[in-house]
Amino acid sequence: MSAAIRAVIDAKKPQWVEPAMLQPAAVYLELSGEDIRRRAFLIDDETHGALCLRPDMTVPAVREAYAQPKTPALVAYDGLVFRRQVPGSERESEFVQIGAEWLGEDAMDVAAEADVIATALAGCRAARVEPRLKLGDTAVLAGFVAALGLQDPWPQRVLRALTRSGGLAALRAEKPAALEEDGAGLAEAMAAAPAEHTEAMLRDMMAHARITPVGDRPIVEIAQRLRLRGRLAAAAPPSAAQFALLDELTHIDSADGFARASKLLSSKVLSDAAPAKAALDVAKARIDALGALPADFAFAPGLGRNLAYYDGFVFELEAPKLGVRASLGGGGRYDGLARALWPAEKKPPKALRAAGFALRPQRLAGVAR
Amino acid sequence: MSLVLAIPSKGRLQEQAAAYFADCGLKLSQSGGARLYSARIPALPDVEVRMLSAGAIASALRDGAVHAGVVGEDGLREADPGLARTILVKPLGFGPADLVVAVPQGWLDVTSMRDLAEVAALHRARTGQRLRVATKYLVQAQSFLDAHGVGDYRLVESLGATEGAPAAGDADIVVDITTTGQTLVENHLRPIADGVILKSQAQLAASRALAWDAEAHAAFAKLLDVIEARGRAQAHRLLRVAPGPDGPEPMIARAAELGCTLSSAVEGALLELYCPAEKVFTACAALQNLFGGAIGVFECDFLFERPNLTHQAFLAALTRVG
Repeated sequence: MSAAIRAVIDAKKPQWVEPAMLQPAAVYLELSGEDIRRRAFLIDDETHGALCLRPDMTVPAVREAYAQPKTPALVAYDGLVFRRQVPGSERESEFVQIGAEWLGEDAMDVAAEADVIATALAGCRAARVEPRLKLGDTAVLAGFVAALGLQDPWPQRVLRALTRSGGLAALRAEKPAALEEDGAGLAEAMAAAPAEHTEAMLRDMMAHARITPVGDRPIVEIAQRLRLRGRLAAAAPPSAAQFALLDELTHIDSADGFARASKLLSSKVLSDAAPAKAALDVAKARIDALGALPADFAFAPGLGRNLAYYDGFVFELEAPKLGVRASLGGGGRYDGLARALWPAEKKPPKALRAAGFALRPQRLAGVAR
Repeated sequence: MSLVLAIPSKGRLQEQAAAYFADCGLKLSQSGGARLYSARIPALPDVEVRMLSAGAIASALRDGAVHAGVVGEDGLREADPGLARTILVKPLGFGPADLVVAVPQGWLDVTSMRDLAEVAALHRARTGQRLRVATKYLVQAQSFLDAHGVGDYRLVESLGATEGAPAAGDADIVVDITTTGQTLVENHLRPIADGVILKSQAQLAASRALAWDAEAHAAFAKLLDVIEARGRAQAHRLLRVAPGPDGPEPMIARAAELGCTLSSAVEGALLELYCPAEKVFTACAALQNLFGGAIGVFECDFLFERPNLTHQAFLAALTRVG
C-alpha cells in the first residue's frame, strides 16, 4: 500500500527527507498558536526548550529543505506523526503520513497547482481508493470580500472573522463601534489632525498624562489606529445582505458549488464584482487543469479558512463512510507558511512559493479492504 | 472515613478562612505541633482539616485527595477547566479577585477586546511574531482570548511577578489577578474594560473525584448546616411580638405578608418571628399598627432551617453524570 503511493510520488523525482521526530515547539506555537498545545504532544526540555512530537510532516520537511544550501524543488516523506486526542476519541493519536511538498522561488501557476492535486489523487488510486475530492480556495473568499467595496478597516475585520468558525456571526452581532467610549475625543482629534502630526500629538499627550511607555510597540501604530478609530464610526459596516452573501458563499459545498459561487457574482450587494470574478476565474482554470474530476467532487470556497496554514487553494480527500475518520489526506498552497519557515539567517529569495499534500496510508488501506 | 477538608495554609486567604470558620463557631485547633499541617474542628469531630497551599487545594480537589476545600475560584478553574471534577458549593464572600486582561497604559487605542484582536494581528504582521501574553492562568487566558477572536497571540508562562513581564521585555501584555488594580498601575498597565475573565472569590468547593461514604456525607451535611445557619442568622432578626386581643392569627397573616417566618405561636405567649434584617423596621411599624404592644428585636447566632438548599444542590451536582 505505502509502496504503491511512494511509487506515484517517486515518478516526480523528489528528494526524500527523514526529519527528526522531535521538533521545536516554538515553530508550531508561532504558526498555529496556543491551540497546538491541545493538538500536539509537547515536551519541556531544559536544554532544548519546549519540543513537540511532530504533529505533521509538512513543517519538518520544509524546514529540512530550506536548511539545504540549494532548496530542492520537491521533497517527499513517509513517516509517523502524532496528535493528541481527547479521551474516548476515535481519531488516531499516531499515524503515517506520505506526502510531497513543491517548493518554488518563482511563479507557481494553476497547472502546477493542479499537478499537486492530481498527484494526491493518483496516490489514492494507487491504493485502490476513489476518494471524494473537496476543493476550496481562500482567494475566492478574499475576492468576494474585496468586491463588497467596504471602507477601511472593514475588509480586514471581515477577513479575520472568516478565519474562525462562528467569526462572521460574531462580527455581525457586534454593536456598532461605540465611539462614545473612553478615548473617543482623542480618536476624533487624531482623525481630524494632519497625519504627520499625530505621532507628535500622541507623544505630548502621553508625556502630560505621565504615561510611561512599556514594551516596544511603535507609537506611530497607536496613532494610526486612533486615527482609524476616529474614522471607523464613519465607515459603514457590511449590510445584512452582504453578511448573508458571505454566509451563503462559505456554506457552498457541492458538485455544482462553482456554479453557485458564480451566480453570486451578479448579486446587487457587490460594489464591483471584478476581484471576485478574477478569483473565480483562477479557481475555474485550476479545476479545468485537473481534467477528469473524480465522480464525487465538491467545490467548497469556505474550506480551509479555519486553518491558518493555507493561503490559496486547499483540498481534502475523503471517504465519507468513515465518519469522523473520513479524511484520507489533503493539501494546498501555503506561501505565507513557507515565508515563516525560511531560516532567519539565510537571505530570502525574491518570492517563496509552496504547495503540497499528505495522505494517510493506514486509512486508505482500511477503505480499500 | 471522616470528611477531609482543605483550607489555605498561609497568606491572607488563610487568615480570612480561619476567621470565617471561627465566626461560624468552628474554631480550628491545631494539634500542637505534632502534625503541623493538620488541624481539627472541636465542634465537628468528624472533620479532618488539612492545611495546604492554595494551588495544592485546587489540585487536591480535582484529584480527589480531599472531599472539600476553601479555595479561590480562579485557581480552581485553572486546575479543573470546565469544573468537570469539582463542585462550587458556596461562595464565601471573601478573597475577591478579578482575572483580567491588561495592556500597557500607553496603548491608548486599546479599550476593548476587539481592539486587542486587531492590535495582535497588526503586531504579527509587523514583527512576524505573535503577541506575547504573560500569565499563570494558561487555561483561562487561552479560552477567553480564543472566545474573543484574538488569534495572533502566544502564552508565556510566568512563574514570578506576571505584571512585570511587559516592562522586562518578556511579554507584551498580561492576564493576571488583580484586587485593587494598584500593582497593575505600578507596572504601567491598565485592564481592558471588557477583558474581565472571571470575578473570583473564595469558594467552599467539593470534589467529585472520590467516593463519598456515609460518614463523609454526614459530616459535610453538618458543616453546611452550620454555615447556612450562621449566614441565615446574620440576615435575620428575631422579633418577639405581643399578640393583640384578637389572638395571634391577624398578626401571623400580616407577618407572612411582610416576609417573616413564624417561629412559634403558643396561645397566650409572645409571638416569635424571624424577619429579614433589612425589613425589620418596616415589619415593626406594620405590626405595631395592628396592635400597639411592645416588640423586641434580637440578633440570633444561628438559624437552622430545613431544607438546606445548598446541601441539596451539592448532592444533585455530586450525582450528576458527566
